[in-house]
Amino acid sequence: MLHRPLLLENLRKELSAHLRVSTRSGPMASDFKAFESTAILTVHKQKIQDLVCWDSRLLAALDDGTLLVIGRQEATESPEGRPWQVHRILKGFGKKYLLNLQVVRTRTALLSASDEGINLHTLPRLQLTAQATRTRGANCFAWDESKGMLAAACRKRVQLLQYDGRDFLEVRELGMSDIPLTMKWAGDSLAIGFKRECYLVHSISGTATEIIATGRLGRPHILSLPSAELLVGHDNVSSFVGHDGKQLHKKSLSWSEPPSAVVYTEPYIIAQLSHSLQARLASSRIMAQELCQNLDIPGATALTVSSQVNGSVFVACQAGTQSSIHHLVAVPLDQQAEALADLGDFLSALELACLLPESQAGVRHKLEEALRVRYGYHLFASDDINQGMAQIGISASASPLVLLNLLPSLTPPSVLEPLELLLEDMVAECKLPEVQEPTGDAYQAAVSAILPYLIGHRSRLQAFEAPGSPRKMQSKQGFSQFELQHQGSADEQGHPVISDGNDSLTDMESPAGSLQSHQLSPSQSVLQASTYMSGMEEKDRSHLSTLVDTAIIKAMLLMDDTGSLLRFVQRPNSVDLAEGCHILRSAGRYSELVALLQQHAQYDQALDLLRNLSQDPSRLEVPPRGAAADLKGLPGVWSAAKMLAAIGPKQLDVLWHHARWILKADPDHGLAMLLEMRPSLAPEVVVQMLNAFAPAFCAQYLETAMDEGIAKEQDFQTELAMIYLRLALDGGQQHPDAGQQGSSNHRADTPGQSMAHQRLKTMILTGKFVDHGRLLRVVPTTSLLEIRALLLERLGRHHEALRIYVHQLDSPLLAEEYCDRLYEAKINGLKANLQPMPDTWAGVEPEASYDMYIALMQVYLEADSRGYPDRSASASGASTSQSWERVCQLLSRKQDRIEPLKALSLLPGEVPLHVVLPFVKSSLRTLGEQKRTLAVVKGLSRAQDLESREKLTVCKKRNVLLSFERACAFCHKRIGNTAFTLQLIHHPNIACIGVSGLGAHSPEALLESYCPVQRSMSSLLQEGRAQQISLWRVDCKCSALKLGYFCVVFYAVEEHACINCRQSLVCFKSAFLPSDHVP
Amino acid sequence: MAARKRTLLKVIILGDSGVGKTSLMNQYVNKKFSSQYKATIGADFLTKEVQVEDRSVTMQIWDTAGQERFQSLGVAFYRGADCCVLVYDVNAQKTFENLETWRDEFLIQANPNDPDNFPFVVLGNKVDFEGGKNRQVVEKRAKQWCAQKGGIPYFETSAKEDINVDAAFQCIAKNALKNETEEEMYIPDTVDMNAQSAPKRRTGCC
Ligand SMILES: Nc1nc2c(ncn2[C@@H]2O[C@H](COP(=O)(O)OP(=O)(O)O)[C@@H](O)[C@H]2O)c(=O)[nH]1
Ligand SMILES: [Mg+2]
Repeated sequence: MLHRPLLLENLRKELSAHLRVSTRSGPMASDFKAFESTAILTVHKQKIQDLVCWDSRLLAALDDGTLLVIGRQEATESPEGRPWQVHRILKGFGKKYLLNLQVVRTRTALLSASDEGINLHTLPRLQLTAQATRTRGANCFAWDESKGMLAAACRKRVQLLQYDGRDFLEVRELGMSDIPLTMKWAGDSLAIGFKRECYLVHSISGTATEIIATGRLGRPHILSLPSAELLVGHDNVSSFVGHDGKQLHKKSLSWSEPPSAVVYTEPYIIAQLSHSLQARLASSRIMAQELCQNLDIPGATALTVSSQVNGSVFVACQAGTQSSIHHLVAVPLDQQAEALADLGDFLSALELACLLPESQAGVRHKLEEALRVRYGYHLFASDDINQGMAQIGISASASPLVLLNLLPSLTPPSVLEPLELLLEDMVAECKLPEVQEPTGDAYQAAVSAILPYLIGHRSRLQAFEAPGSPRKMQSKQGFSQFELQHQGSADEQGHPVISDGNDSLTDMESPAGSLQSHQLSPSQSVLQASTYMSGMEEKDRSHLSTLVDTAIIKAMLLMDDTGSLLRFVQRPNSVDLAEGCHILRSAGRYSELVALLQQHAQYDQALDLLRNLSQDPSRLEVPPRGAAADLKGLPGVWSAAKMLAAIGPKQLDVLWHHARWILKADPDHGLAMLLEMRPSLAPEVVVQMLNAFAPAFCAQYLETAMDEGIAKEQDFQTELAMIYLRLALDGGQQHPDAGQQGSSNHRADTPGQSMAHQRLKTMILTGKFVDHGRLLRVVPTTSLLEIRALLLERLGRHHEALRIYVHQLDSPLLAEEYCDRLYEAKINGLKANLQPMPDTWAGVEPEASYDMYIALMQVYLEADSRGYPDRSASASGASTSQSWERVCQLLSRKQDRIEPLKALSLLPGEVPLHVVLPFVKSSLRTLGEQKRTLAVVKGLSRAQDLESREKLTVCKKRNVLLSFERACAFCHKRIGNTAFTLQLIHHPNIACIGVSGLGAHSPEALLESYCPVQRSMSSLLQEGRAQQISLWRVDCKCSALKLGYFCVVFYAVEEHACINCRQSLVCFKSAFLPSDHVP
Repeated sequence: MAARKRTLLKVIILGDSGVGKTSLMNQYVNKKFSSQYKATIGADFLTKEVQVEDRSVTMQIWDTAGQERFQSLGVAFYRGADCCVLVYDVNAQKTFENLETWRDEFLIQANPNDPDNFPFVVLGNKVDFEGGKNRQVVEKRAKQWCAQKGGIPYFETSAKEDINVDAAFQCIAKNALKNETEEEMYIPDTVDMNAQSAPKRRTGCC
């Protein structure tokens, strides 16, 4: 071969006539373009058999054996724009023909198959360096770069040759049953395509495995993919096969006709078909089949992937007598994806977007997000609402605005307005189309579908704002357990949590896990980190929350009423109040409206509404629906009462405003409401309120309030008594005769009155804080005499009280009972119940109040001396004898209680002796008896005293002084300071004396077991005879019984008295007991 | 564009609060676990692309807060679910006993076409906890329950140690797809790879 410059120059000229820098190729089958094709060079006459790239050059094998070296013109322009030209023409590179070329990159050499066999030429100089022996006539070969192994197929055998850097050494020869048409290395095996099938033949063992039955049409093709896979063609289908020959679970690619060759340029596989090229995604995904670009390049004869320009492919083709080379440049993936999206093929677009390399992760992410949203819109518009929402849901950057934009009827314009600009930006950014809001059933379906997403967004927004969310955490490094706990409690009200089976939570190993409470901050797992929030201004976020919540109620309204709307508005929410009210009101959903108003602290409005609902629902414009329909009448009142109780006393004006109708409509519930309020309402206020609106319930309130400790007895007992008094009197006014009769027993009381009367009586008798004086001032003098008498009694004005009984009620029986009562109270030492004698107590000395009877006598007798206003003067004679009779009866009945001398001195001189004689006699007898009894008692006491002294002496005898000479009962060591250490406590009041119980195994046992006077120690304590029993565990060094318990009993010394009964204690001095007393 | 089969699976995760629903999802989707307990608020979902056999589907997993329960989210939430995952804590008997209620309530709310064959999957979570010392529900008991309910698949998981999480969700996806197949009469258009099997021939060599 001659390579003279001159010749070359000529040829170049010759060829240049046929070269043209082509424009773009014709229109494509579909509008989608993965590659742009440009014709770069035309060659006359010869067919280009094979094409390889090396460096920035192309090597083309022509069928006459010529090799062309093609490159860009060397000029000053930018490299991309420079036209291609033939740099070198090597005629006779193969003597008769050239079949295949392959660049050996590690050695910068070129392998070529020609009629002469397989040759290796250096690059770039193209000098022959090695020839593979016995490869003459090879029709294909495969080169394994890493092993330096060449496999050449010559007729029905495959020659394996090892290249050692200089020569090809024959290694092995494998016989074939047919002529290999194509061949690729797959690990240690060769994948060989025959006419009808493909086999995997192991290069060492020669075992063959069938991969796939190829069809009858065309040549089989095999492509080795970088992912250690093979793409094997059979007919018009290419399948993915592993190096083990097993088909992979992947989609196969099907072409419109059996391809004659395929190349791979990520992510596409380009197949060379007779009339065109076809590019399909090599991806395993579902849609790989559908994404296809047809490149209108007919008659392709060879194609190769550029080693330099990313993804570009060179194609040689033949049309008539003319061959040309086309350059296919890959359209950037993101553009491809966009283009697909524009065509409406979003799945493919997404697929492509995923294929963007890691270096473009940012672009990829943004693209994917935008595509999802667009796809969602697309699906939504094509009635696949659920899928649409899901797609939008996948996009973390899609704010709920994007969703709501699909259903504008859910967003009131006034609420949307502040966010309008944001929405417009988003629409523009994602190129979102205008989508018609669906109607009818589709609308229902859409609303139903959007609702969960709105709730999801709401949760995310809430989580974002919550303290401790990732956003807020950033600035807060030391986020301690304490803070967590703190937050937890702060959120408690807002988020009541049902605690169910979370016992295990309490023992998580983490600090937060160990919290007892389940009520942690809702800061929470932002599961799907939505990204739009951090890019928004705080105020926009709050607008957004409002928008979402408002839309949620609109959406829920459109759903069947399952109570979810009510539950929603009952919880803290950001619903736009004005809109929310409007929406709910026009739907007649008043219950929800009430809850919303309450949640937004519009109590007055809420209660007004409840009043309407319960008292006068017909006045409402829209009839109540849902839960509100049940609020008519009492339930409405109850709701209102419940609400007021929940609001508590902080809104007094609201309470005043509404208590009236509530109390009027259902006083019981109203009362309960006032009582249930926490913190409780000031009783003064309640009393005032009840007096104004429901006076009849005042008493009931005060009783309960005092029972429950809401109202203090000292403050309200008198108040209550006054109320009862009033109630009791009310009857008096209604029945004017009653008062005249002078006794409540005869009155025709209403049940309420007699109850009030009864209560008043009990209160006066038992109430600790009743101001009797105050009551007395208002008790009338003519009616309720019994009450008056009671009051006087409590005031200690017994004389006056007795006068009422005797003179006004004319009931000596009651008067005497009165005296008995006081007398007994006195005797029983229940002085405490009697108030100190006031000054008004006349006639009888206070301390001698034993002598109530004397006082009664006086009262009886008064009638004679002075007469009494009630009694007419004319009746005095009769009454005198009557009084004496009474006095005498009294004296004889109560002679043991009346001091005879005093009584006698009181009697006026004119009393006949026979009247008093029985009294005097019995008095004398009684006194005598008393004297004798006392003498007997004295004698008995003395005897007892002697007996105890005797016992004491006996006991003392049994006590043995514990000295340090004595030994432990078990180890027989002496109780020297070596064996025991006894700590004796010196207490001024207690002589410290010990008892030892050695060897008891437990202190309890010891306490039960032993006592110096044969009683258990605990009983000693109980009786107060020992003031303290202490136990020491004494380390007695004897190993047999390491833990001996020592019991030391402290007795009070003789001079001291029992704390309980104050009797002197028996003393056991030096009561260290010997160990042999241990049972 | 050609009609494409559904690629979205809606999965709902239910169970008492604190059993680890959120943690399981997080482990599965984000490969993360936090032992801090944060009660979920409201309801939220995660999506993950899963490969089931030769299909790639988007699984949307909805998680709810305990306090929200059924009432406040409304039926819209549960409708159209393809699979329901019931989670309990193997260390808390009560959470297991409540499965029955969760299942029943779900069926009421979601109202699927064929409640008897609606796919559920039961997960007994926190098997790692204290090395299983405090376990209160034995595997046998749980399996028995699942069998009674028509052979619900059962997995013992640990969101913390990532035990069985992937397997469980793979099964969930599979069952969800099964449901879809039945409901929508989906006809697979994949090429049956196993149909070809020409008798092996040896090429003559050596
Ligand atoms: N040891 C252990 N703890 C877990 C596991 N899964 C969840 N937890 C813990 O249990 C608590 C509750 O989990 P979470 O996912 O919030 O429960 P949810 O209320 O069902 O969503 C958290 O503190 C988790 O860290 C697990 O598999 N093992
Ligand atoms: Mg949770």
